[in-house]
Amino acid sequence: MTDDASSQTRPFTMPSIIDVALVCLLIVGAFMAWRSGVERRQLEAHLAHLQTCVEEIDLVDPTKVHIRAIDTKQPFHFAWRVYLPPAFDAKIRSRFTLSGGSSWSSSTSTNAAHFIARVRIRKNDFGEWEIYEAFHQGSSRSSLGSPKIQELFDKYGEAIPFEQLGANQTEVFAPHESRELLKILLPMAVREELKPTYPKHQEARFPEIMSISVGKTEDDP
Amino acid sequence: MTVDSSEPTDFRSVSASNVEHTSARAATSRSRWQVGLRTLLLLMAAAGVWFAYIANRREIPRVQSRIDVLQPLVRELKIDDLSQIAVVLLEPHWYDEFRWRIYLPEGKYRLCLATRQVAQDGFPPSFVHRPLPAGQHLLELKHILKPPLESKEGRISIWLNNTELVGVDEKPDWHTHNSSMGGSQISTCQQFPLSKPVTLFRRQRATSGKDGATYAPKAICDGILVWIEPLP
Repeated sequence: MTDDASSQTRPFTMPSIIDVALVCLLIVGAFMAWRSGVERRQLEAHLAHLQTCVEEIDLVDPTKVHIRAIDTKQPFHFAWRVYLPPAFDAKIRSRFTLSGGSSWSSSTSTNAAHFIARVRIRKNDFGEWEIYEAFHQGSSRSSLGSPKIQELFDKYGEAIPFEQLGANQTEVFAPHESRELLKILLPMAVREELKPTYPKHQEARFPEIMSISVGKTEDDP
Repeated sequence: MTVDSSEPTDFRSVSASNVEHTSARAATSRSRWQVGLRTLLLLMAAAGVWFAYIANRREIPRVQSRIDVLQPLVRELKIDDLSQIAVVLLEPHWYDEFRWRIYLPEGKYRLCLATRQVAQDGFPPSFVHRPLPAGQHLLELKHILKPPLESKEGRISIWLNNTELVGVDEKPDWHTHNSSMGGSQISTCQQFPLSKPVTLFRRQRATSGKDGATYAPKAICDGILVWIEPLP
């Protein structure tokens, strides 16, 4: 009877010092976890918002160049998310294959660089087709060149085919390599017609109208 | 343990007695590392919340570093202080394209544009201006040459939410030189107090010498200067 009574009147035993310490740890830890959780959720929400504005590229190897095309949903407006490793010589070469001539620019940054590269082709206020190129630390605007190219853009417009680097997946390459960032090609309808007049020394590049490459190529100065 | 058979057998009391006896024995033989159920549960709960805290603290810098990469690329207006002006230069989509998203707190403002007597700092005595309402706006600087190109006449204007707000027609002498120095004074989002004007754009046009060569801009010369002035 005594045992029975004793077991009924002892539903709770006095907490030990360890229990008290653990309760304190639990309260402090819960508060810290809640606060850090709020901060983390806010940052993750902000990151998610930024990701809807600009594409994030997954860095496979930070010592290599990473390029991923961005869909601008505008004709002749090409953009890329670019990562350049530290000390990369960002040499950009524009080759006007059909009309002859080329231009190049170079910039080197000691630190790694994240940026959006952009190439855009459109008519100016005077009806001439121009090309805008923006890469890392500079931008330029120039005429698309010869009347032949101007005519092609006037006549075929959006039907002019192109190949854009990184359109399907992130392009990753070593700093000593180069890649064709963009190739503008002759429309199918005029390829046979223009083949005989295509520059002889550029035959290997047929049916290219122009191209923009990134990275040092063998024939670069 | 024996139970007296002459007394009525009470299963509960025997059982309780057994438990008491066993726990007493257990208590005497309990090692110092042995803990009760309550202590164990508290330990697990405390470990859980601290692990959650450590996981959050480890993840926060990783998320922050990804934000640091993307934030400058997005160029969005970030208003931390509602009582200050906020300005961000939007990503250009064409050569010499300057578009700013701005936030102006409650108050009166004017947008000023000068194309002559532009210095490396300060503001010229003559300029055109228009009132600018408080709130969020898109401002764009446009420099359009009038056809034919040879006429060298053009209009420099500021557009507010895709409508021209203020503009200046410039004569051929202004367009003589293509080279210039300067540009937008703001790139990523910045905030400014209402106590002084906010310069959006400052560009000085190059000058030419008698030899025809182009020289760096003089201290005061033609150019484009755009600023927002808070009014009392």
